Amino acid sequence: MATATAHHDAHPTGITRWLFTTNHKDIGTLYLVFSLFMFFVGGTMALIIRAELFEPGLQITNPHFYNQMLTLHALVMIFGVIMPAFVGFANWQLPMMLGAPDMALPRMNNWSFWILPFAFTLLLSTVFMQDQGGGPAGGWTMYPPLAIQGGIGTDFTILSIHMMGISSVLGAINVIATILNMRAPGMTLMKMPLFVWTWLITAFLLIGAMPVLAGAVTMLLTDRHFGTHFFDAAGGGDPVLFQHVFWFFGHPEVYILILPAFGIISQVIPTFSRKPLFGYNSMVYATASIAFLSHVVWAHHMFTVGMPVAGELFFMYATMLIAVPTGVKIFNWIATMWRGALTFETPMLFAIAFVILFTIGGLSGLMLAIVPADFQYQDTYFVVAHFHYVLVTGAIVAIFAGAYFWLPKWTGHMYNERLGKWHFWLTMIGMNLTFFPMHFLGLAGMQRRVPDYALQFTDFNQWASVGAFIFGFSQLLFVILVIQAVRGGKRATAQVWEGAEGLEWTLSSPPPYHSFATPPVVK
Amino acid sequence: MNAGAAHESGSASLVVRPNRSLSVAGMVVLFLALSLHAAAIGVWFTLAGAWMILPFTMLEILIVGLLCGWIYRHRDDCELITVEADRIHILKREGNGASRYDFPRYWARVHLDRRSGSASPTRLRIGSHGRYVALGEHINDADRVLLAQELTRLLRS
Amino acid sequence: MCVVRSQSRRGVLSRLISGITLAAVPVLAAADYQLNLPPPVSYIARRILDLHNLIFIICVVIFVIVFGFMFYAMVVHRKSRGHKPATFHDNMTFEVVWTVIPFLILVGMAIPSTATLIEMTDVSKADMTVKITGYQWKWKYDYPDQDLSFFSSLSTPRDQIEGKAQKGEYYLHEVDNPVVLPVGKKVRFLMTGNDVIHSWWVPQLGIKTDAIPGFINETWTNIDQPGVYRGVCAELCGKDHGFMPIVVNAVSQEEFDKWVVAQKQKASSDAASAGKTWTRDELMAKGKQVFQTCAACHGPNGEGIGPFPKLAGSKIATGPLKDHLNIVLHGKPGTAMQAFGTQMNDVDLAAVITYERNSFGNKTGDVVQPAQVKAAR
Repeated sequence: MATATAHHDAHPTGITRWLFTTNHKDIGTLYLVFSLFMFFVGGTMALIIRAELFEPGLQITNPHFYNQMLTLHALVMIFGVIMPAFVGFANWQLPMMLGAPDMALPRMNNWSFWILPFAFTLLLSTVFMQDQGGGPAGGWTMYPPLAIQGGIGTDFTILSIHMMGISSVLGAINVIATILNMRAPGMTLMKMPLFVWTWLITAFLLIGAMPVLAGAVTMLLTDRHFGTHFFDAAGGGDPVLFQHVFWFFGHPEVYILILPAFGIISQVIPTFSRKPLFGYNSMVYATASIAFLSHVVWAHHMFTVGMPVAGELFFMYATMLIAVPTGVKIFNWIATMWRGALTFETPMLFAIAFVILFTIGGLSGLMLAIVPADFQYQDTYFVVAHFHYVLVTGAIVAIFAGAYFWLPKWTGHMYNERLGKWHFWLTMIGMNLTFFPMHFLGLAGMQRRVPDYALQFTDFNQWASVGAFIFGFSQLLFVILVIQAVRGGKRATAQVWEGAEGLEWTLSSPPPYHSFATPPVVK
Repeated sequence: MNAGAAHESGSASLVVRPNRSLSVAGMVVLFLALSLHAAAIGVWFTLAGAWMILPFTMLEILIVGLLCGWIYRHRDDCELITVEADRIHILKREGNGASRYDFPRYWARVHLDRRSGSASPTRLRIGSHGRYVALGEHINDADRVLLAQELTRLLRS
Repeated sequence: MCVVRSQSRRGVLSRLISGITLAAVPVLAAADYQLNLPPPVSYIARRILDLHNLIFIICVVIFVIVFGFMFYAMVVHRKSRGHKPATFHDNMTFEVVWTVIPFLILVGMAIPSTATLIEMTDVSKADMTVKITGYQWKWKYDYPDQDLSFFSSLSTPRDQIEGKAQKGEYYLHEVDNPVVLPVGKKVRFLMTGNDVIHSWWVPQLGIKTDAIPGFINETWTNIDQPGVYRGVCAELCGKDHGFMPIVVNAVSQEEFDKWVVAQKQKASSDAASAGKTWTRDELMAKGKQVFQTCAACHGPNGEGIGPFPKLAGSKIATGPLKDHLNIVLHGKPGTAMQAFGTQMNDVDLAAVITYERNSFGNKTGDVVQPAQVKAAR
């Protein structure tokens, strides 16, 4: 090539590269690395919890510290791991899938990432303030009046949630603007890869939900310090109002955590089935109807607060209805695999595991929707099992599927397939051993969020603790694998996978379209 | 991509312009959809007694509005590169403003900076005497490489 | 279930390692694992169990059928077996079928659920009423018809929790004053919370209802058979959320009546003892017992735990008696320090305050009499 290539003062390097970058790939990497790091932070908290629960009695924590661990574990995993991981995928993949040069608002993209480390520093610093009350200890749901009792950690948490909220809203606007404004010519809405669709819908949900969360925690803050009585019954407020507000945010949030996972799986399964996705249109409609329904089911988190029967029935029916579009998705994935030419590379293994295990979580969710039965399940380990099946064997497994799927594209190198398979199987054994016995614990009568339990729950708890340690430590394999792939290895082709289709796999050459042209001579 | 026709008269020009798939009407619909959805939720909670959500909703609508405005102003961003017999004119249009650059053709150099790693972006600069201006910042990497080749070709011809 | 575990002094790590080996060896035969909801003892609990089993079986059948197809594809439609991919990507008939069939199944599930829910919420025609109030971290039971009222808190000794003593059979599932109910009577429960939200859950009765400050929730039960039924607080309510169990003692109507009489006698003898003057030793001995409640936050030796202040050498416990009485009687709003004036009688309060002012190195020498507490109320 005749082009001169200069290296001096070409690109910022070192820390400034990462601090000031506006490139979607760099920011995607930042999000993913941050998420992986927080995965270990939140995972360490989970292991402290599981170590304490290994046997009855209090061994390594006191109840107050235990409550901080379970609260922070939830906040870190939800806001620090799953959401940033999906935003990282969006940053990397959306422009590539749409044929766009970058995200629509690159500078803002940088801000929305760099808010996160500060937010989490603030949140996690509370652990080191044990003398002032330590971290938030009222659960991530922050129900008043318990949250009103908390120490300074609660205020730090509220501030940090505000920061995460700003980050999410900016990120969501960026995603919407990118998808709608930056598509390549010919990339019509109904031609967009499903990952793009799920993210578009997720971003709409985020924009609807985040002000609600911000308002909810602000009302907690003013109740704590500025004499308002939103949630204080003695002052004419209503503690249950907080739960309505929180879950009005919280239930869309649940879908924010799972819709992009649906998108990832919808990319992976067709690739390794060597067959187009079955029922693309119905997948899009199903995603949209799940998002719509997510606004009218929030009170199924609070069936035991004493709602009128009519309310309970409405929320029961609406919740059960979500099973229909979710079922459509599962059936479509299986129909995609049906009569394909299946191979089982690591991304496909994770994707298949997702479909099976997420369905377990979905079916236990259906059981939880049945109000009379929910009276027995509510706030027990059955619920803990349910949402870990949805979020860990669901969202986290989908994140692994996506990470293995796109890692060769990102690094230019194939990862170590043998190590990937080890990681997959150890993860499967670990997570199922951890979360499956929790169903039985809940049914047998063990309530959630306790540091100690009665003797009859000992055996299943020991299974779960052993599983948790296997699950936790096997994630180190993933770190090794990623480092290996970044540093070198077999070169990946542009297409990477035999069955891969879509703009992102053809991007290196030839480019899909030209964004510059020769106009008529100006003079 | 072909600049042949313009080349014969000794001058050629290129327009570098990213694709914008959202029409102005589409943006209005989008803004209304986002803000009405958020506002409906905010108002509904206000009626239920949790009025502190509404300020955050308004703030969010404001942010969405500002960003829509930013996108609207930048809808026609482009770079017009004109190569004449002895000068190169560059007109960069960004938002409401425009900046012009002008280089002697025979001193002008095109630099394409690459960073190691397959996924890294490139940067394209043109200029002379230590004064450089970045080009094609809003187009695809692959296109930027083609643009660099095209410019180099034009400068040499 | 009567396994009593001996406490080992080994470290957590070695216990985990032994746990890993334990999990490797089949332990299924060793313990009797409870896999389903506990045996129901009321009509509603039975209806819930039937419903639960029904939905569970439907879910299992759906799971097996759906993933039967998937596993068939995974085995037969493999590339390694030379299977060539088909190209279909749409089929309207199938898509309609697998939208409509799940919908019909859901309707089938919704009908019995609705019926059961309506029965559960029918609190009319109750034979008696019990008011349940959640406190951090104990339960208060009021029997307005019998004019009875008492607190019920965990009776498992701290030593067992901290691993200094062998754990008993009903570890964490035992209380000092169980709630006693007659069998065969429709009992209406009124639930509320004193400080934060609690949730009163007894699985075998099929009841879980939140106890929310400022609100009263209603629910009911009609227990079939005498027995002891154990439950817990199900809503995170702070530090000792895991340590506020529920024990329901279901007895015949005659036994219930006898119990009511006995409770009333006990209440009047307590009232009598409040009138007399207590010696310092008596107060210190009783105070040490009562202090168990305080030790949950302030530490067994008054050293404080985390955000909860220490009592050893504190301004309140060594300063003017008036302030000490005031904070114990009326609590400190916005914190977990409650108004114990509503929860303990004069004797207990006098004893515990005496104990606090003369222990952990505090040497005020004050002896507080029940009469002083009464005057300070």
